[in-house]
Amino acid sequence: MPYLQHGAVQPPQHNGAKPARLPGMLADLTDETLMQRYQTGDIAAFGELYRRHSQGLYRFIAWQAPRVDWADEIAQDSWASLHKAAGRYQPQAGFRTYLYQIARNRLIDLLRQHQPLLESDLAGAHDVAPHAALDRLAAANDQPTPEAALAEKQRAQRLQAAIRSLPAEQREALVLQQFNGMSLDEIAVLTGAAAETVKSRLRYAMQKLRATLAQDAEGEQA
Amino acid sequence: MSQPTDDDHDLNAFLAGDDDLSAMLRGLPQPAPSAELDQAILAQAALLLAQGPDAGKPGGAGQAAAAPVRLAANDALPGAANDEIHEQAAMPADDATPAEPIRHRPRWQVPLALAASVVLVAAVSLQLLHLRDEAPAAAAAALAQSPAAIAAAPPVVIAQLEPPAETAAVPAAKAEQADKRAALQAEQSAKAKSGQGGAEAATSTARAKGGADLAAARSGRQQLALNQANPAPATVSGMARKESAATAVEERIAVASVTPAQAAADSAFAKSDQIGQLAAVEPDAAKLRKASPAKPGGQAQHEDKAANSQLDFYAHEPAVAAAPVPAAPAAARVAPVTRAIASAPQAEAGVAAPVTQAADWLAQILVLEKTASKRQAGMEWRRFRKAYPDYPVEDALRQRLDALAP
Repeated sequence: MPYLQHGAVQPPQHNGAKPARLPGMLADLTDETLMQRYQTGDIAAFGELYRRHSQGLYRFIAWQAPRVDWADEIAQDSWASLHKAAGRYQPQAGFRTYLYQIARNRLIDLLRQHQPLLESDLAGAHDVAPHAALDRLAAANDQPTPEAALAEKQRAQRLQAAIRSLPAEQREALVLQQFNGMSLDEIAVLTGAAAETVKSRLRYAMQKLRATLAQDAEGEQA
Repeated sequence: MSQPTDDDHDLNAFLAGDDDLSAMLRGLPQPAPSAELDQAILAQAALLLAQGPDAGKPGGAGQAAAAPVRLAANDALPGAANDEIHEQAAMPADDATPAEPIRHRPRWQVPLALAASVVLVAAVSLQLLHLRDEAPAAAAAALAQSPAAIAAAPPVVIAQLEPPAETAAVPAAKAEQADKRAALQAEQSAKAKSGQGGAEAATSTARAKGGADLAAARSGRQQLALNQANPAPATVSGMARKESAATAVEERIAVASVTPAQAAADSAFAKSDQIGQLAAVEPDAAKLRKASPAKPGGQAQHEDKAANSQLDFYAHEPAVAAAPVPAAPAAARVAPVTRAIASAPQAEAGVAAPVTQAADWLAQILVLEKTASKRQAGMEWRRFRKAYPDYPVEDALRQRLDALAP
C-alpha cells in the first residue's frame, strides 16, 4: 500500500493526543472504530483507513468518471471531505458506504456541472441520451494494461469497453459488486435504490457483457 | 413458490464470482491511485489535523478554512446515514482552477446592511430636521432669556397711550423723562462699550444722540421697562452696569428680531415714534377718543358703537399685546406700541382699522399744528375731513382746526 510503502506521513504529535499506535494494532480495529479514533485526532487511524479503502475508492471513481483526470481530483476531495465531516460521523453507519457516498456525490456534481461541456464533446450524437453520451465518452477513455498477452489484452480491452458502454446505473452496480465486493444491500444503501433494483441492474449488466463477449467470440471465429 | 430459472442461477453464480464472466472481470487491470496522490492526500490530512488548537479534532473550528475542501451538493441522498455532513455545494466550472471552498455568505448580511442603511438615513434626516427647526427655536430662546420686564413693557407703553384724560399728563411727562434718561443712559452705555465694540458702540451712540429719533425712543421705552422691573441703582457704577445690560438686551433683541417681520416692525416703529412725539398732545387725543358727540337717531348710535368699539379695542389692547404669542414674538416684544397700532386693526378687522388710522391721522395733525406750520396742519385737516367726514371730533378742536384750514 502507498501509505506503508512510502511512509511519507508521520502521525503528528498533538497536545493531549494519544500516542500513535502501531499499524499492526490498528489493523485489528474496524473501520468504524478507526473513524472514531480519527475523530479524536488520531492521524494513524486515518492512515489505516486510507490503506484499507484508497484502492477500492479510486477504482470506483475511475470506473465511473468520464475523464481520467477527474479520478484524482474526486479522490482527493473525497478524503478531504471525510476529514471535514468526520466530526459528524455516526458509528452506526458503515464507513465504506459513508466514504463512497461522499465520492459518489462529488462525481454526480461534476457530471452535472460539466454535462453541457461533455455533451458538446459529443456533438452530432443527437440520438443518444445524456447518460449514453457520457457513457460513450467514458468508453473512449483508454485504460492502460500493464502486462498481458496480446490476445488477452485485446479481450480485456473489449471487456473494459463493454463495461463503460453500460448504462451508468448498471455500471455503477457492476463496479461496486464485482470490483469493490459490496453486497446488494450496501449498494442499495449507497445508491438509494432498492436491493431488487440493484439486482436487476446487475442482471442487465451481466447479460449485456455476456452478449458483447459472445459477439466478440463469433467475430474471432468468423 | 417459483423455481429459480437459468437466468437466476447465472446471476447468482455471477454475484458469487463463480462463473467465467466474473473471473474475467477480476482479471481486468484496475486503476489505482498514484503514489503522488497518496502522499498528497495523507499530507493534506496531517496538515488539517495539525492546524489550530482544535486541529486534533476533525471537524473542529479551525478546520473549515484550513484546507481547500470541496464537498458535493447532493451528498444528502436517501439511504445515507450522514446525509447532512456536506453543506458546501458548488465547485469551479473549470477543472484547471485550484480547488477552493465556496464560501457562502450568511444570509443575514444583506438584510442587516439594508437595515443599517435605513437607520443611518433616518438618523441623518432627523438630525437635519432638528437643525432646521432649531433656528426659530433659538430665536425664541433668545427672547425668552431677555428680561421679563421687556415682556411687561407693553402695558406700560400702552398705558402711556391710553391714560384717562385727567391723568394723561403724568405718564406723558414720565415718557418724556424716560426718553431723556434713556438717551443719557445710551450715551453712557456707548461710552462703556467703546473699548469693546467700535461699530456697535457707534451705532448705539448714534441712536442715543438722536434724541427723539427711533433708537432713542426704543431704547428709552425698553430702559423704562427695565427700570420699572429693577430698582434704581444706588451708585453710578451700578447704574452703568445696568445700562450696559440694558444695551446688551436691546442689541440681543435687535439681533433676535431679524425676521421677515422686521420690515413691518421698523415701519411700525416709525409710527410709534411719531406717536411718541404726541406725548405732549396726548390729552387732546384722549379727549378725541373719549368724545362721543351726540348724533340723532340710529346714526348716532352706530357711531357711538364705533367709538365704543374703538375704546374697547384700546382698553383690551394691553392684554393682547402682553399675551404670549410664540409664533412671532420678536416684533411684538420689541415694538409693543407698534403692535398695538399696527396689529390691532388686523385683529379687529373692518371697523377698527379706519378708526385707528383716523385717530393716528388726527394725532399727526395736532403734532403738525404745534411743531410745523399751521397751514400744513390745516391742509392735513381738510384731507382728514374728506376722508373721515363722520369721525367724531370735539367741537372746540374741530373749530380750531377748521380755522387753520386755508
